Amino acid sequence: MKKKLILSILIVGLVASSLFATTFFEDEEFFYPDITFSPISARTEAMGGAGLATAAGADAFFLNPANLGSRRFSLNLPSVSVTIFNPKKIIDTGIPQDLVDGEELDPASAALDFLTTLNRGKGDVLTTDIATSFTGGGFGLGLQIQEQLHNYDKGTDTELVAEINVGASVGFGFRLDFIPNTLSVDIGATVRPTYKAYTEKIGAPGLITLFTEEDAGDPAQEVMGEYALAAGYAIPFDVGVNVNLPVGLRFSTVARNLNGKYTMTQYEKVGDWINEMGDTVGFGSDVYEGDPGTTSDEFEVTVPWSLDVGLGWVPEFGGFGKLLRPSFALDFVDVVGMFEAMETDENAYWNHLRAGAEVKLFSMVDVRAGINRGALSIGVGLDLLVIHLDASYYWREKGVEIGDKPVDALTIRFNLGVDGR
Amino acid sequence: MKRRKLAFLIVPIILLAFVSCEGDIFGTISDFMGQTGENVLVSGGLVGVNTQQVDAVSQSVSTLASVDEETGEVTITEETMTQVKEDLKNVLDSPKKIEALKTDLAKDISGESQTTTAGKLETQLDGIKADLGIDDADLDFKIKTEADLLVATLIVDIANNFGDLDEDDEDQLIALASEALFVVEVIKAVSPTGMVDLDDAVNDLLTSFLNDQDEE
Repeated sequence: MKKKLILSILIVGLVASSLFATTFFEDEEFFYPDITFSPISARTEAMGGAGLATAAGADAFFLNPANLGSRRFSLNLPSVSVTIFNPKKIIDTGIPQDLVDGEELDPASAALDFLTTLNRGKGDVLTTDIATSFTGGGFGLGLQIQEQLHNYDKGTDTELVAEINVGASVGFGFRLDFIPNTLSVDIGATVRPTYKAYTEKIGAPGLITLFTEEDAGDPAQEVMGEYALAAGYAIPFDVGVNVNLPVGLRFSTVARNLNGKYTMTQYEKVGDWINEMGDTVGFGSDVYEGDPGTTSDEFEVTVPWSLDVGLGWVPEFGGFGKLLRPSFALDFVDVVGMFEAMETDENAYWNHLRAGAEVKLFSMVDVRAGINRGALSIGVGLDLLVIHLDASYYWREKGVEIGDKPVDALTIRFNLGVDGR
Repeated sequence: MKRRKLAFLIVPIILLAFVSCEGDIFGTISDFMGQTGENVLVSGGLVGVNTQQVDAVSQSVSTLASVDEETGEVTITEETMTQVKEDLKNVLDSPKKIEALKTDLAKDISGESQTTTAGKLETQLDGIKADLGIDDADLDFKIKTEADLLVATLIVDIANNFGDLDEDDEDQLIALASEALFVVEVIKAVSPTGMVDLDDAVNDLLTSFLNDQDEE
């Protein structure tokens, strides 16, 4: 019967087209080889991912620690960002409309609809960032927690990977004023002890069944006892240098992710890791109640460092600046890789280009736009005393070559504190 | 202070503007999102999209299926089919590549070989229809373009694989559903807009899988 149903659908599909005729898991398997922990910044994403020379506040920790040399004060108490990937496809499924209309959704059906919106290969489903930070007087301190849900393939082939990163950032930057108001140099560094944990690939159809079956056991216990996880730490650091010139021009260079060597351990069962974490923080009883699995020896995964360069321009308009304050950023990321790629493809630099602009109006409304490998980004921000809201919608080229796999994302950020811009 | 008040007013004003829009607000948002999805380097001609996989699929359509001279049956080259599926998966990730494939496959079938294969595939698909008890005359179809030829070959290929299927094997059923979804995705990609929307049908099918599992 099931076979017939499938064939029926295919037949209808063909007719329609004709009528209109027209052990553990492999440790390297999911670990992003080139990417270490990096929070998603609504502002930076709206500017196409550019901003080495213009990033301020908490963004400076991850984009350019030399910007701490400006000694600007910023405080996040805290900031919370949520990023949803493939929002256009999700809207196109009709699920949001049904929710607004108050229609009752069949969970399994909605879940399957959702899985078809994902992309083949490695992708992202949802990311949440929570951070608290302080910058001022050249110093910076921050604590960042990021939860990510990745996907691998789509539809009934979908596999999910949950990842969590916890990073503590400590940074310092200072300015050398060679010729006052004409030439100065900022130098800064951020060290960022990071703890990372991620599950193996978990088949989504099985997971849906686990959560929708009425006679199934506790789904959380099932997941904790069924799947493996890898966890570990690294102490990467970034070093940045700015050259500040007249009329608000700034050249920046950042050596990023130095010492990006993660020492990882594999746990046969997610529950083993959760219980270990519980013991570490002094949680009374074990969360996972099943039989314990085995734990592997430590192994290392190295995320390569990169050298990024950027140009920023924040023209000073004097008193008029309260009404209108534009800023422009142009970055080339991983310039070493870029020059290597240009030996075989002279246009390879487009793959490394990020450019963006921001205009602050009346000191409270920000309008942003940018391009990242040619993909567009837009965003708005609202600064209301100590409340800051940012929303960004952007496309990113996730394929090897431009045009291979465009993916869109929506980031909403709420920040209580002082933004530092 | 007035400016602050103005800023506080911006949010409800924008929301009001959205909700007061007549028609399908989510459709409007989706259209807007789609418009921002254009890569400026590609549309500006500064970077060309690599259509290697599109070309590979287009060139394989003619050789994917052929009629065995001795038996008169349609034979599908497994190796070529595997490669075509891989290439199609790559193509389906990229709107620009889909566009190129659609253009390539819009050509009418031509030549004796393609016509003969198309005729045999039509007969085979009619047989599948009969097996399924579908006798709706409106569902008669003709293979006119290379896109039709490709999709018909993909369906016959899946049908051929049914013989080995164990209906009690959930993994096999899921794999089959995955193949079906893939073919539907190809149909939607290479056919013109306005075709019958298959999402609901496929969704119902897959949901029935899960319900069946629950019942079992």
